[in-house]
Amino acid sequence: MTLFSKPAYMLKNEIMAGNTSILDLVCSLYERIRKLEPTVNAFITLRSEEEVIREAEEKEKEIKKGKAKGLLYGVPIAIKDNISTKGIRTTCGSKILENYIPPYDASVVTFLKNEGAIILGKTNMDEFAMGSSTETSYFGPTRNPWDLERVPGGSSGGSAAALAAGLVPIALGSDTGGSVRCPAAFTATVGLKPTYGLVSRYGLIAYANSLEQIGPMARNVTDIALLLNVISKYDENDGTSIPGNRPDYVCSVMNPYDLKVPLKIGIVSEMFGEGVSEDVRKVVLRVLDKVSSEGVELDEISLPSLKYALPAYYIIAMSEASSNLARYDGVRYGFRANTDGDWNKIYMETRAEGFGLEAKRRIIMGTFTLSAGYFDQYYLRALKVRTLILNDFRRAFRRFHVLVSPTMPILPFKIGEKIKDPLAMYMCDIETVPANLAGIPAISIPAGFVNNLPVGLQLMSKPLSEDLLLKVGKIFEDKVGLKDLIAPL
Amino acid sequence: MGVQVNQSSEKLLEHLSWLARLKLTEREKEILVKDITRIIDFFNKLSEVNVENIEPTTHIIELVNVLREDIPRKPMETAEALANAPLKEGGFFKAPRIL
Repeated sequence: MTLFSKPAYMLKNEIMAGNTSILDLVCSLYERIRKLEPTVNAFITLRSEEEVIREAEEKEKEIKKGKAKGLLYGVPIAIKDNISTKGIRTTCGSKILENYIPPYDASVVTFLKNEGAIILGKTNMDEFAMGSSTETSYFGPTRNPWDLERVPGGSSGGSAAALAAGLVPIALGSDTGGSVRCPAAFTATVGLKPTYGLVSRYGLIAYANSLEQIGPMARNVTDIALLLNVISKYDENDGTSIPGNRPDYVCSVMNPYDLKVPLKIGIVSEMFGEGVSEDVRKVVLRVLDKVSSEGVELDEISLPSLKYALPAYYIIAMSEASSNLARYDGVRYGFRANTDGDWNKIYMETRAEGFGLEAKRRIIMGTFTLSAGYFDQYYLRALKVRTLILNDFRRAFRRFHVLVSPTMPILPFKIGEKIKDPLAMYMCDIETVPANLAGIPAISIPAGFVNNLPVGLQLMSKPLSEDLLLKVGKIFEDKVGLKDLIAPL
Repeated sequence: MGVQVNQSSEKLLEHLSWLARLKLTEREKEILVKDITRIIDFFNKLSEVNVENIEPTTHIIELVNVLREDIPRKPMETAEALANAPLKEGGFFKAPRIL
């Protein structure tokens, strides 16, 4: 197995045992990055090879001294560019933060550093996480390593592409309406959106703060569990962080077959209906066939409120975005328009020049849904629909351990195909937004290929049941047999 | 696309652009005035739902009043806080004049 293709759980053991040199690992990744980055464009900012080599050498010294400690010691990781990294430029894929260097680390970054992980760089994303294709980035689109004419999904497309191209073994993304799961599905990798509140959002630059979570991304389910162990700690810096200890997710994944009752899987009818392409549906149903056996019960369930999930999501997300993006005024950080005038003039022009079209579209729509005269009819109504969706899921989880659906309704599409039609782009999110609205955990794992294009399968479970979700994910991964995939670039 | 754009959509966009303090180019106004009409139509799908007696969900976790002890901690150094400021003077962020 080549060094760059090894999973993180293997690398960390080999590194601690002295069987794999961190230096060799880092050099082999940078060699691959030099070769493939000009085409793939997964990264916005890369740490210099010299700097990372120095870090690798320091860490090797600690290993020889017997002082090395950490769940990810010496393992390189890529981090989505909306997660604050002290001293490393963090842009959110936007011109308005093109030169912003955070003075602090996000909590998840602190946790990663404490466990010895090596940050390689910051990955490309749709501007302010607003998109499903990584095409709205100020720094150009990222290409899907499985087909360079197609999108890798979004908004965490850079992280997913870096994994699929073998540039890093693990990565972080963020998921507001599917932004970890969508690119995972489009790149034959694995991505998890944790229960809302499981992972600290301190340092995650906000888009829609009642919906989003930082999520682990990797090429197999075991690495997801390993990464989740590191990042899912309670954090007092995040007022929405759920207190309490977390289970050992790696332990869960190592013992996937110890459920004491038959596994009950719910097939959500609304998520297999119109809007889902026949190709995608076939692949997912084929997997469900493979999985159904003794000890696994599959049954259908209807969640009628899901028909309204997409408009409810976009009303809530755009409303929160309009508020969260008000801070970009060119005064404390970021781009400032080079013009004279009073507060309003400079504020308006700074934002006119600094934001891309999709960000502007969402700010405008979010302003509308929160404005006087429309607030009740749109924002408040959407919050009530959210309650209906929550209730539907609660009902479903009384009957089933997990629910299943395709992650994406379609195959990866061509760059430029949907970008001019915002509603067509929003439709890509129909399968993923329900989990964000309900705050439940959801994971995408590779299900198969159609014409060499990846298809992902989504599993969802009740809040704070990631241990169960990862077990089931491992069972599916074993049955499907698609893991540690790297595109033949 | 057959989108019904009228003077009221244009006025709405002007109003929203002001509320959001977001200046738009003529070309952006042309594009967005059609977009907002289509997106509002899409949002109007929610009017089909019966939400009588349903409470809104603003936050999924039922955490309330998460506070910490009122003990001061080490603040960020002034230089660090000002490091990203486009304009600064005498240890302050320099903001545009209000009036």
